[in-house]
Amino acid sequence: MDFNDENIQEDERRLLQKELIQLEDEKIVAEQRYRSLFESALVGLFRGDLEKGVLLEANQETARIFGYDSAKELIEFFNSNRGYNFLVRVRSLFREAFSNETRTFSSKLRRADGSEIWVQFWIRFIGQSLNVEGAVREITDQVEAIEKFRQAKLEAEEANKAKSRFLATMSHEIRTPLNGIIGYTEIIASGDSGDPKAYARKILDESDRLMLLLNQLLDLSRLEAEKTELETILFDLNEVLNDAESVVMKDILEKGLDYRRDRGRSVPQWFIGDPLRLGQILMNLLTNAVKFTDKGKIVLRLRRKKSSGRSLRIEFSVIDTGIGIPLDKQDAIFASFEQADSSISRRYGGSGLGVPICRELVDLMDGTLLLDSIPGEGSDFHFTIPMTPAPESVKDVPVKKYANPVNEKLLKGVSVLIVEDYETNREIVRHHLEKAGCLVDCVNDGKEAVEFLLHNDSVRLVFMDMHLPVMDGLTATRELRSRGFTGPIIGLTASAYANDRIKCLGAGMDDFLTKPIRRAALLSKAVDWIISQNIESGTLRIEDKTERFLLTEYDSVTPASVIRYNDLLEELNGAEDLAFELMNGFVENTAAGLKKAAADLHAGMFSEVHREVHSIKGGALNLMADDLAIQAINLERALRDTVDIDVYDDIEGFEDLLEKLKKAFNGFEEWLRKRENNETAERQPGPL
Amino acid sequence: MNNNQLKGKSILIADDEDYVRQHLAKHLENLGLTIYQAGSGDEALILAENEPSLIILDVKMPNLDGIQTTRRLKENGKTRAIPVILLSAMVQNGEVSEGMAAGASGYLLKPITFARLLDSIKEYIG
Repeated sequence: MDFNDENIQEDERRLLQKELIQLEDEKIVAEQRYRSLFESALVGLFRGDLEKGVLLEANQETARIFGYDSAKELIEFFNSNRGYNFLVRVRSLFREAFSNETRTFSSKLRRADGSEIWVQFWIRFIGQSLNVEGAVREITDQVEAIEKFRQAKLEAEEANKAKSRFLATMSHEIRTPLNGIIGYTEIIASGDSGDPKAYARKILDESDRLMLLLNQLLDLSRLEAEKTELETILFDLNEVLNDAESVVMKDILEKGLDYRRDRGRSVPQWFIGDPLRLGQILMNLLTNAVKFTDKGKIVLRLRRKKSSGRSLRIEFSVIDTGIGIPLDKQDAIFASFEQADSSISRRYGGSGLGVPICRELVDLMDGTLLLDSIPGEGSDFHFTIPMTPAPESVKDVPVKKYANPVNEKLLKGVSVLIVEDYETNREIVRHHLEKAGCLVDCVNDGKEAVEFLLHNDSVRLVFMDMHLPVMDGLTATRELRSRGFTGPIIGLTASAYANDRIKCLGAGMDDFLTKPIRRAALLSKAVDWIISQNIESGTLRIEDKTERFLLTEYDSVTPASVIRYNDLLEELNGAEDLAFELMNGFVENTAAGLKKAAADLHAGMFSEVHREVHSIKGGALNLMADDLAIQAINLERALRDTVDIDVYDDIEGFEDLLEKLKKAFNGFEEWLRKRENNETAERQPGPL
Repeated sequence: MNNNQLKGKSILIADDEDYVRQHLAKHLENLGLTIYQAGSGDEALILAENEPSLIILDVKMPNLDGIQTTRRLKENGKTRAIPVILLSAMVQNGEVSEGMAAGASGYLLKPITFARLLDSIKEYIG
């Protein structure tokens, strides 16, 4: 071998080796750059083999999307389980168009932890084989947003349909009694033979039906607007049950149904709460039960459930053996304005508002109205609510009947003025009052009323419409009060909203009546006022009457008494211990309530303040703490207007009123402490 | 491709061509290996005292060449068991069979690349 030759060969070899090393260095750098891009990319990147159905490579983001700690774990899981059928889908996607174009699809897949996500893939083939590379991105948020939107749209459409159905039902419901009213009236007017009295009774029945419908509508709209507040007054549960039963008893007897009231022995008789609302729920449920039951029996069952704390949990059930409600219709029963089957509505009547009203009321009482029903066997509506039992000592207190019995004899020869421009209404009121023996005068507007009353001091009672020509009823009342007229003025209003009531009382009226005016209500109001004129001080316990009394009895000059203790004792049958127990409890609650009210006021939570003040008022009225009650009433009214119109600009005004309320409370507390000390001093055993 | 099995192992590389030796050493170190570099057979014998997992020797080195070095390593009880890979540019001179006779476990022909060397290394220490 030639030495020289070998050297040349060696040089070439060295050169070749150098170039090779350089190329390899470059390749490694390029690979690292690619790997770094692949690994740190914010989209999931991967490669797979469609032939073998395996994942070859994936980056960290892909692993993250599917819930794995590392790409290695993801690949192992994928290749061992074939947990993702997406390769299969890819194959089918590409079957038709085998090309290098990128294809995209979205899919719902399961993550490592079992949760489901939506992902979007972009995939294309690489090279000649069945190898693919692709990107993946999670799109769960977008898909869910679209889904939510779709759902919301569906719900809105459903609500709209429900509204239309409701309007159709209502229109039918209103038309039916109206048809009766118009029909019978026409028969009577034509003077055809028949029994006009019987027709008139039918007209009354139909009118009652219409009235009930309107009241239910109003109730429900108030409940749904969350403007209803529960009372907290002492009540006799038996009386609530009696009242509710009395409404349906006639129908139960006529239908020949059995009825049983099943009050568990451990359910006490006396509670503190809202008897009217509770009665309304039971009455509605009983009415439904009777309506949908043709044979068998109805049971009203009360059971005491396990409970902790001071309040009891009482379960009320109304069980019938009626037509029952199929499972798929049960939700609709609870929805406002839907009756399960419109043919049922036609057959049995009813607006479908009863159960929704009950549901809302039970909600308000911290319970849930539930239904168990088997079609053809019957229904069981039941709910469990927390109820506060009355203190032990209260049991002995005799209960006064709230309303005075209507003794029409008292109205004989009483002079009454009716201020009403609408002839029909005026004539109806005049007719009923004259039949009862009143001497009735009528005028058409507020101005005439003022003239008339200032010249006729024999008038003992005024019924005044709110809306009148020339001078409206409120202005006329103010005018009369400023001129020293002190007789009772009762407002007549077409609206049942609390606002009108406040306006009436605020203008100086003593009471009000809601139209349509019924004979019994009109005469009972009149008798009430004649009685309270006859007796010097009526001990009426019903709240708004007491309010009315307080506000007329004490004007701004005469200070109200801290407490009418003797009246209170009389009310409690002389039980001093009970009086002190009640008063101490009240002071404790009120001190806390006032603190909360002040904080809420500064936080602008007016409805909270209103709630506190409302319960202070209730307590003060029950304890006959007049000054405190008046201050609470004043603040409550100011707040109620505000809460209604949602304009909060007079915080200072509220603060002043709250200050007055606090002062009145301090006065009450002071009185109580002094009195207590005296009591204890008196009871100290003296030296014998 | 799993390079984890190489972590913590050590390799002795002897080659008088610096750029080849350094290129291989650099990329092997990146994989977590400890690399002893020798520019000659004499240096290789000294560094072999560290008992690496594998020894890579260029055949053509001045003074003590790769084959002689292999013989000396196999004579030493301490280094006898360590596998030796030879790097050779010549096939026709019988170098390879001489080296295998001296106790080498295998050989690679030059020009060499890191990727090829790595595949071989994994066969010996995996």
